Parts: sequence; C-alpha cells; structure tokens
Amino acid sequence: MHVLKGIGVSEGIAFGKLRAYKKDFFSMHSMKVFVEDTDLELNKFKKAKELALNQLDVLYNNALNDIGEDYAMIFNVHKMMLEDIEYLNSIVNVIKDENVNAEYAIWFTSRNFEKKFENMDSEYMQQRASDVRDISKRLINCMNNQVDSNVLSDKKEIIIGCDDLTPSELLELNKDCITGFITILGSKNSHTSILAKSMNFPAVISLGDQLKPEFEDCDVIIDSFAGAVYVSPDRATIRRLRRKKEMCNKQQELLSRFKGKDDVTLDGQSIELCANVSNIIDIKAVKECDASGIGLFRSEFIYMERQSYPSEEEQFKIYKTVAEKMSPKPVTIRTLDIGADKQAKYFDIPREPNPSMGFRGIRICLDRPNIFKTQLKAILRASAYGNIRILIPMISNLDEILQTKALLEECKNELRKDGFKYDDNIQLGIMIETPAAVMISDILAKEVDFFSIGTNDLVQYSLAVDRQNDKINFMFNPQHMAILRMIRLVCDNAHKEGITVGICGEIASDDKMTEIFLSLGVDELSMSSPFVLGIRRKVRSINVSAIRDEILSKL
Amino acid sequence: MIKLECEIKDPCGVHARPAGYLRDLAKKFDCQILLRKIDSDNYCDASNVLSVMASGFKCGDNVSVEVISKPDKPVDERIFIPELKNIFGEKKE
Repeated sequence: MHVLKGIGVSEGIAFGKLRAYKKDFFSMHSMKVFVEDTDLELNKFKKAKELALNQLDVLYNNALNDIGEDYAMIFNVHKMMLEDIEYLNSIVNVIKDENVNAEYAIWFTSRNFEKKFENMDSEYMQQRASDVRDISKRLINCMNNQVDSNVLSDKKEIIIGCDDLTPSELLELNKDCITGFITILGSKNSHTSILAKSMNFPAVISLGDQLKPEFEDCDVIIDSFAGAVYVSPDRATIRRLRRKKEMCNKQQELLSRFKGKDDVTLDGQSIELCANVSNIIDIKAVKECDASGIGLFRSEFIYMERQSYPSEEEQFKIYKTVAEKMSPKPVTIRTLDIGADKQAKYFDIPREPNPSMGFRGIRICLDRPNIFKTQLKAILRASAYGNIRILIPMISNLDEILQTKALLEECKNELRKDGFKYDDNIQLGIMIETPAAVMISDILAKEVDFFSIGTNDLVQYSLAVDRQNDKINFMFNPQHMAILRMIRLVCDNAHKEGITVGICGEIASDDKMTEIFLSLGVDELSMSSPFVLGIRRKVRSINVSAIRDEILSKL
Repeated sequence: MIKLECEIKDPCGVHARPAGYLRDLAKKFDCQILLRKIDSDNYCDASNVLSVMASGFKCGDNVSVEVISKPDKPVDERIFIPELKNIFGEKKE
C-alpha cells in the first residue's frame, strides 16, 4: 500500500480504480496521416461535430443552473464558434485537398485561427485562442469517445488521475462511473476546487511527484477529509475507510433532517445562521444548506485574477444575480477588502513592510473614491432586486464611517439623476476587526445599522499574532479571554443602540463556541455553507437560560 | 441593401459576446450582414462568429456594414440600426 498526501477539497470518501485522464490528445493529433477514404474522415468529423454541439448544450444548461448565466455564456459562445462556416470549411477542405485524417485537419485549422488571435494587441482577444483550442480539442475528443466510451463504461467505479483539471473538464466527467479525482497540481482556491467542493465531489489535489504512472489501474481510495490517497490499500485500511464513509453518509442524512428547521434554542432564543460566500459558485451550496442568508459576500473575487478594474455594469450583474437568487433572504456584501494577503497587480500598491497594518480595505477605498463609488453604485442598483446590505471592512475610526456615508449619499443622488432604481433604506454596517473599533463601538453603533465581527483579523491585531507566521501559529487563539471580552463589549454596545451583531470569522463555525455566542446575545453567525446545518443542530439542543449566568460570570 | 458606417464603442472591441449577438441579429432579420474595416477589403460574414472575432475590430475602429436582405423580407432600418449600434457598444439613449 502507498499513502499519498495532498490537499483535500470537498468532504468525502471515494473508492475506485485509478485511470489516467488523457488530456494531451491534442498534440498527439498534430500527426498527419494520409488516408484513402476521405469520405470516412468527413463522416467521422460530421458525427463528432453533432456530438460536440450536444455536449455544449448540456454543459450550458448545467452551468446555467449551477453557476448562473454569466459563466454559462462561454459554452454558448463555444457552440457558435463550432458553427462557424469558415472554421468548418477549412477542416473539410484540408481533409479533401490533402487526403488526411480528420484529427490533423482539425489541429491544422485550429492552429491557424489560434495564431490570428494570438497576434492581436488586446490581451482579451489573445486569450480567445484558448477557446478555439478548447472547441478543437472537444471535436477530437468526441471522435475518440466514439471508440473509447465502451471501455470506460465497463468499470463501475473510476478515480481520475491527471496533472490538473479545468472547470469544464470537471463538469463533463461522467459522474455515474467516476467517483473522484486526484491531481498532481492545483490549489485549494482554484475554480476547479471550489466547483468540486460545491458539487460534493471527493478530490485530493497537489500530490506532486507522489502520483506515479505505474499506479494506473490500481485500486485507490480518496479520503478528502484527510487529504490522503491510498493506492492498493490493505484490508484494514479498506475496512476503516468503508466505515468512515458510512459514518459520513449517516452524518449527511442526519443533517438533511435539519433543513427547513428554525435556528432557535430549546428556550426560544433565535439566532440567524448565514453563509460566507467568496465566489458566485458558492451560491448553490448556500441554497442547499438552507442558510438564513449571506452574512459575508467577499466582493474581492470580482477584482482578483484580472487585468483591470471591473466596471459598474459588470459588478451590478453579479450583485443582481446573487440578490435575485437569495431573495427575500439578506445578502451582506462586504465592499472591496483588498490589500494585505489579497493583492491584484493593477491596483499598483507598493510593497509595504507590514501590509496587514498598511494600505488596505476601506483605506484604499477612501483614497480612491472613484473605484469605491463604482462599487457602491453597482451595489445600490442591485439592491432594487433583492435584500442587500452593505458591509464596510477595516474600520478603525468614526471618520471613515462618516466619509463612507457621504460617498453613499453622493452615489444615491447620481443614480437618482440617471433614473436608476435602488433601495433607499439599504442597511449600512461595519466590520469590527480592529481593537480600536471594539473600544469605540458605543460611538460607532450610533452611526450604522449593524456590526459584523471579523474574528480572524481581530485576533491577529489584538493578540499581536501574525496569521501567516507558522512559528507562532499556536498562539493564534480566537477563544482567548481577551477576544471573548471584546465580543461581549461589542454586543452590549450594539444592543444598547438597538442594532444587531454578527460574527463572520472562522470561529462562527466552531460548535464549542455556540453556547458562549448565544449567552452573549450574538444575533447572527456567518460561516462556510457546509457548517450551517451542524451548528443548527447544536443551537436547537441548547437551553440558554440554564447556562447563561455561569458562562457570563467566567468572562 | 442597407449600407452604413459604425464606430466600435465597446472598450473590448467586437469580442465573443458582441460577435454572438451579431450572429443572432442576422438570424433574427433573416439577412446577411457583411462587415469590414473602412480601410480594408476583407469582408467577414456576421454568421461566422469566429471569423468576426478573428477580424479584430477594436474600440474606435470604423466599420463598414452592408446588410443584404431577401427580396421578400426587407429589413426594417428603424429597428435594425439601433440594435446594431447597441451591439457595437453605443448605449441606447
């Protein structure tokens, strides 16, 4: 037995035979083969084209349901490309004129179009070369699948192994026989990982050279909880993981019993359990776990992995989609919190000696009001389509709130003039994540509609423990008495002014903390979707009045 | 035949989405839409998405558009032209 260690994405256990996922069909088919019967090749090509168009239809519809129209559109564009007469004619002509195989004709045509795109000045158009490549690959794969599909379907449980998997490749895997995947490369935050997680598809990534070609056809077990892959597992391991899988299924079943139930304690105290979202794809998981809303929508992802600032229109569409999908439940959009460990090149932020205490979050937004106003306007416009709240990060003084409110008014006025609709009573809240904000929370509470405590940064700033320093990681303790007392102070000050307090750091999903939060009167907990139902079960088992006094006396 | 000149106003030029809309427009009006840059003789047909994209119409380019309709199905310019301009990034007023 070999045990490989990687990063587990999603939660699950899968059994199967390991198969290499053959991606590099493409360069293989750059080989020119002369044929006698070109009609056979033309026919092969025609069939592959029909199959590819059907596949794209299915992909489009799946993506439309899973991740929304903006992302699904790409499959429609691919479909239109596949119907391009020049592209199709070129393939047919190469087959006929040169008496060659269809694969080569596709490869040749694809290269021609790719070159045209690669030579354009705009980076956007240069990237379209990969779309041409993608559709050409699909055509070639379709031809091969006509031969290969039987081979695949004779095995029931297969685990795919490859260098890396793109989101569209993942969406296309036949889930009837493929139970999971493992990759040599990959990162936890890639689209593929996020997608695998939201599909509950077991996977272990980033295995490096541990994954060897000779493992092909071996029995493997993926444990994506532990980030482990067992190749040719021994009996004891098989037995242990079968049991773990059963437990996990049972847990799922148990949790699904808590769907549709209220988040209320035995003695009738209620709390909102919301979900954190860092990507549009997460919305599906939020719906599935039956959260009371989105407590933290990290808008940074809209700004990351691109070359220039997103436009108002672009942002508006994303916020609108989320608001509509969640309506009437609330969606709390945290405005741009870039800086520190989250950087995008085009912001052109110079290197700082101490970035977590540097130019970040609201500090950037107030320094560059045009960027901030673009986002605020997009959020305001989307507020006409659902229940949106605005959350401002990294507040450390009152002035930042007053400036933000003034900008928000400006945005409203401009939108009104331009005839756009928006929710005039949109709620404005702030993140409490600096010790300064905690200490003046009585003053801040008079100016905003809600608080959201970000424990990750609050712990780092209060305990003077760098989140990213492995050496002192053990000191990063969200349950430190100092933090609990701060939460208590914030709750008391907020409730005196009649506003609500949420907690959106990782600690919100820690079920050992639920009693304390309930005793303190926290109004909302926001966490990763997979934790919501577990915490709901916990909430419904607690009698707060019986434990409150004792817990509070210890703080 | 309708003949007109348009300026591309979409900052990204005629990329995937506009190219798709152009094709849909040709389908909707059941006509042929031929495009070329003012200073070029190379026409491309809007029904071919890839070719339109590969022609590389950029923001600020002036494009000559020729619309050839079927004899029994004349294209209504009042509807067609605003839709066309909208695709090229000119906002509807």
